[in-house]
Amino acid sequence: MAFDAPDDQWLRLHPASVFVNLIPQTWRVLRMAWPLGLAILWRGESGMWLDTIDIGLVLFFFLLTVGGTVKHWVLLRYRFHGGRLEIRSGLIYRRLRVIDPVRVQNVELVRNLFHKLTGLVEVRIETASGTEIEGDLSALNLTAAEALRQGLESARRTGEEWEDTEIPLLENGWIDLFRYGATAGRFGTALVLFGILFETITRLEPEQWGQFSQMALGLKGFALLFAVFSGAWLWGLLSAVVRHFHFRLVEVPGALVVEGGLFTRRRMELPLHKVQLVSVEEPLLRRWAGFGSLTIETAAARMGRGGTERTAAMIPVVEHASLPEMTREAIPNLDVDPWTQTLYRPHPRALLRGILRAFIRGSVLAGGIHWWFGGFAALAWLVLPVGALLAYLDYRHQGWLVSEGSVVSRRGYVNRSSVIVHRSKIQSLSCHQGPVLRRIGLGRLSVNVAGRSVGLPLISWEQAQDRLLQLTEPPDAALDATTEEQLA
Amino acid sequence: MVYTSLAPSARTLFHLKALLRLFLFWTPFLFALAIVVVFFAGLTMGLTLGLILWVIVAVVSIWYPSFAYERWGYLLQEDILLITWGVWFRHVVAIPLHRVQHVDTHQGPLDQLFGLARIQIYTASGMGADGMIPGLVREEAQRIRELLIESGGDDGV
Repeated sequence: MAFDAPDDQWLRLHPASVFVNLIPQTWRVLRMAWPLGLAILWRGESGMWLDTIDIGLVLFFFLLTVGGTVKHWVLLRYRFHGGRLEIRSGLIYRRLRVIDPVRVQNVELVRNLFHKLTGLVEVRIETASGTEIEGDLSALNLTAAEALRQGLESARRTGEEWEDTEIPLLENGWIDLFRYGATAGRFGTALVLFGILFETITRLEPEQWGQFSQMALGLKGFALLFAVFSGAWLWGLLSAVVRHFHFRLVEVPGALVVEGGLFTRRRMELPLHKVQLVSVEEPLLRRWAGFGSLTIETAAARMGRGGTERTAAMIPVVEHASLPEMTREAIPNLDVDPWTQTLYRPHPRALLRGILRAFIRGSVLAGGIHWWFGGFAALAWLVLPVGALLAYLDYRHQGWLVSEGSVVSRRGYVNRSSVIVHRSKIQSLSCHQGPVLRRIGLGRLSVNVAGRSVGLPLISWEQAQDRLLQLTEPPDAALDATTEEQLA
Repeated sequence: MVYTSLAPSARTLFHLKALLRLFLFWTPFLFALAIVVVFFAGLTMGLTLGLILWVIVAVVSIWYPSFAYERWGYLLQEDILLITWGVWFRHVVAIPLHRVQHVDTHQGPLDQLFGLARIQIYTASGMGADGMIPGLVREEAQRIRELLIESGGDDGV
């Protein structure tokens, strides 16, 4: 289907966008007014007069939200004009955003529960600039959304012959997603649950607190610990299934499409020539289970929890044997296979630094615990040999490779992550050396692509500078033969 | 590889900036810190600690700028710009010229006083400036800026 609206004709969102946007908009307003909400919640008993004020405030914020969504629907318009997408919004402060389809990094179609109820879809268009979604059309009917996607595609491919055919590459069913969820590290969730538990305990009366501490020190304490970790694990399992339900990866001409999700279904299209890097996460449990998770990143970025997060298409489960093939689907001209080729090790002195770091961190942690709890908390010092062992394993499993066309960096033993960058995407390079690294003659080489910096394992300072210069050469330039020292 | 040094007057500028930092930031900060220590640990302790810290910062402020100046260097080749700097933490940055998105030139009041300028080079990596060269003679800064901007090419995104 082609974009059939006449050029220059402004189109608007579906009227049901007022309803669809109400929940996210309310959430946004609540986030802005959270101190006020908290004050109302914690104020406790109050008279009739203050209750009226509360109702008034709630009503005010509700009307503000409804007004915002209505304004959004009334004022937002979009059109194709001169081969470019234009999005107009605002009344007093008017904004016209022009997006060149050639600059589009990815197009994402998102359908949450409200979209599904109303038969609508949200279209998110991202370029490499900024930290927000550049073109967000929050509620279009399916025909308009598909027409817009096709319009962007045909504008991007001016002069090219192409057909919108889909070749299925990979699917993740229930069992795959259970495997993915079951192997996800959920210590963070467990910590949050412990935090909530601790917060609840602090609100107990002194006698209740005594009863609780007796229970926590006994067998029931272990049961509680087990329950918290099991709960976190089950949460991870369920969220994996919900987030990636019926996941599939398909190839369309010149792009990859990933699709998945139960309540909110996402369909993201990534033009292959916009792919900046591929990273493969293979934590220990997943390695034992024989699979890894593959992430394809473009230069688009948006604000997420904890700062800027990359827009990436993540494939939850790729069997170990298929990892090279899937990586090649994302980077077609890839000339390395990090899973069969031998990677160069970090410099031997990097092990010394790793063990030193593990000892310093472990001493601070164990010292603190021992000092605070005393007695059997001396067992905390066991973190020192464990830390040293992990530092050794980490060192043994790190690796890097610079080929004529690609750069590979592999870090970590427990949480192994391999990053593969095609050299044609390198923006700049840097070498760093702190005082400790200078003492042992090492340095860190970092490769910067659009939106992300990829650090290689520690190598000698001279070698880092040599590689820095080599990597600035065009990707097809022949590299010097690898020396014995690098292979050591 | 021989890097080009910064303008000789940049050394004086670095010293001046370090002294200004010492008297306008560090001295009031350490004075406030000493008062807090006096409040908790007595007059002698507060004065001694404040004085020791001030002497350390003053020595570093006098010693550091010359080393920092010596460490700064840049090398503009046909297709690449190399920048190196750092006393405690050493850095070398390489920016392929065809990746340069834009170049900023900055001149603060002190830079103007010495006829110097600072340039910042940005690529599409999107993590702030990829490289920065301070203490350039204004004409040299303009020359580098023009060379960097003129070298167009594929931006890789």
